[in-house]
Amino acid sequence: MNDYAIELNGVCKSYRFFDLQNIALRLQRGTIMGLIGPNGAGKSTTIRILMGLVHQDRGEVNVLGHRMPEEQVSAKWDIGFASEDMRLYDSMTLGWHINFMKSIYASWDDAYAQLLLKRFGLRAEQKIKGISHGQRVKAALLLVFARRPKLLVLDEPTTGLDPVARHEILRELTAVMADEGRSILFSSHNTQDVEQISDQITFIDRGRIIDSMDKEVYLDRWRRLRLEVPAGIELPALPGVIGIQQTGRLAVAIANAFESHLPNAYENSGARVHAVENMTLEEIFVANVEHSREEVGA
Amino acid sequence: MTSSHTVYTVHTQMFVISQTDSRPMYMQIMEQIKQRIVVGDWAAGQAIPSIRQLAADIGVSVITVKRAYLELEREGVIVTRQGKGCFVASDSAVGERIREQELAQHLEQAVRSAAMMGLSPKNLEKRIRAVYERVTDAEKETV
Amino acid sequence: MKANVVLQLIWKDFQMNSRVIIFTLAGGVLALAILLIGGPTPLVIGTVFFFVAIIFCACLLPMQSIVNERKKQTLPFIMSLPVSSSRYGVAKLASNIGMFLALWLVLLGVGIYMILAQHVLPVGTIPMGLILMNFPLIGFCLITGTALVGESEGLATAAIAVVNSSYWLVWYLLVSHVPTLTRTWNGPVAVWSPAVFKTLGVELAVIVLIMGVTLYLESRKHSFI
Repeated sequence: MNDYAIELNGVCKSYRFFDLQNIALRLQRGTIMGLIGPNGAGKSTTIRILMGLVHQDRGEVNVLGHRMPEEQVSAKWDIGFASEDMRLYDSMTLGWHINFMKSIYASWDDAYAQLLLKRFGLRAEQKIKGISHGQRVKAALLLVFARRPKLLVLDEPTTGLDPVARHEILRELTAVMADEGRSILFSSHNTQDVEQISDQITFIDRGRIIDSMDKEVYLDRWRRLRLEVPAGIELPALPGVIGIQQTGRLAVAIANAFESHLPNAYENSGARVHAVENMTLEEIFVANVEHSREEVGA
Repeated sequence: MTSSHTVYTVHTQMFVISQTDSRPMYMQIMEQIKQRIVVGDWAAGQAIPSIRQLAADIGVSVITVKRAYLELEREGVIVTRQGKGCFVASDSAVGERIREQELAQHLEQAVRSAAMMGLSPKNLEKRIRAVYERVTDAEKETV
Repeated sequence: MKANVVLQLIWKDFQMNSRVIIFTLAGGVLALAILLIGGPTPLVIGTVFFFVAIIFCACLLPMQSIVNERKKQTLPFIMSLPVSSSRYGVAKLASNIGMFLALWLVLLGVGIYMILAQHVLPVGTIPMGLILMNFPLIGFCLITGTALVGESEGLATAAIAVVNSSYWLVWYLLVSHVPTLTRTWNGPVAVWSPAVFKTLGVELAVIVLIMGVTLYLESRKHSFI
């Protein structure tokens, strides 16, 4: 057993209009990783590859010590997987699904399932056909959570949920992390969710991983500097700054490798630093995608 | 696992992480831990939740709480004892010290703003005295 | 102790498709009951309805349990369980063939009972009847295999169209090429001639071939969802 719950090396997959290029990813045991990226960036494909549902053209995929896709059967005993495009059987009740899972997984925790039913506002005797989208999502997650799997792989678990439901799901996810032997990988469009609960952040755009690192380190590297540029002064190009927008005498510089001496460097060039601001993941997300596309386009 | 859950919820359910707060989450957590210590909810030397436990209770990532704890440890507000867990620093003046640090920070901020405006130390002193009198007068009135 | 997921999947399909099987069974038995009325018209109507019931089930069962699983996106749920695509294929083939074969055997039994005990048809029709009963069984295997391997509703529907329009053609070819088959079917005894055995053998070989090809193709898939 190694220290990683998930390990991808040099993974490639080609489609007609899309390529996943050289994906390398490591999820340490006991941590939770948020996968973010624009639509069609390759998040779902990456997740399907690591679940063994799509076979990679090249590269190694190792999940919980099992080679994928070859050993997916043994791996999937310990993985709880839910994706946005996953549906339960319309004609059956939630209770039927619970019994079905129970008949397969010895790890099924009935008490926890009952608790989740109550917490999620679901009823076992309801047919899936008659419940709302949000309840379906919660039902699918209940079936995964109550197994208490070592690894949770969730593709867009909070998409389409109302704020209360989203909050409930996030709470359950962080509660899972109270057990240091368990790990979570989840993708989301909601940068707020990712910022709140993940230990690691991985950024995917156009089939490539742009960044993958510790969340605190990552957020710390990004800063927005509000500058006043007196007439006649030109802002220097400083290392670590990926973009400057200037209108009149006010300028905003975005740094993706912020160092504490950066404000001084601007002051030395004759500009005045009004503020050094932290950025939310959402702001970083937009800046990062725009920046990486400029680079690719250039 | 769920039973150990309930132990700390009494103390931690009031943690609020706000998106309108422009400070990073770890700073918000630090501040709220300090508040608990200042008001005496968490007494000097008292055991506090483990990093994982607090993360699960607040609903944020482990790494964020870990960072908050590290910074608090560096400031001498909490201590980690190997194998025993985390505790509020045992000196009885820890609350006092936190207030002291806060004051120092505010003063520093004030001085920086003053320097940016080109205010002399004398003038700054005068301004501070004026604010002091206004605030204490206002407090007398409310009492 | 780990549960046998393939068995659980088969059991799940039985639960979910029991209604189709029961309806077909009722329809088939009802059709045979029409034969009891006697006379040429009820004979034709009963026989036609009997085969219609089986053919209906041969189409509906794979559509419901295989095509719909993909279309209604319950497949990702099943594939999140500890199964590989080839084991999933084995489970699907086993459950579908199991359900269909159970229905088929019961209807065959009722049919033979009708002939032997109720004398609705001459006993000589039994070998030919068995050969005919195998048609929808082969058709069912083809539709099931195409639905499983083809992964599309269009292909499965095409398979249904081809299979259903081939029944008469195969019947025509069989009767015109092996005239000995029809020679004794009005007789009072069932004649198990070499021609009968040969035909049954070919039918069985076709079934085994279809299933083998299906499992082989299923195990070679690279993308499952």
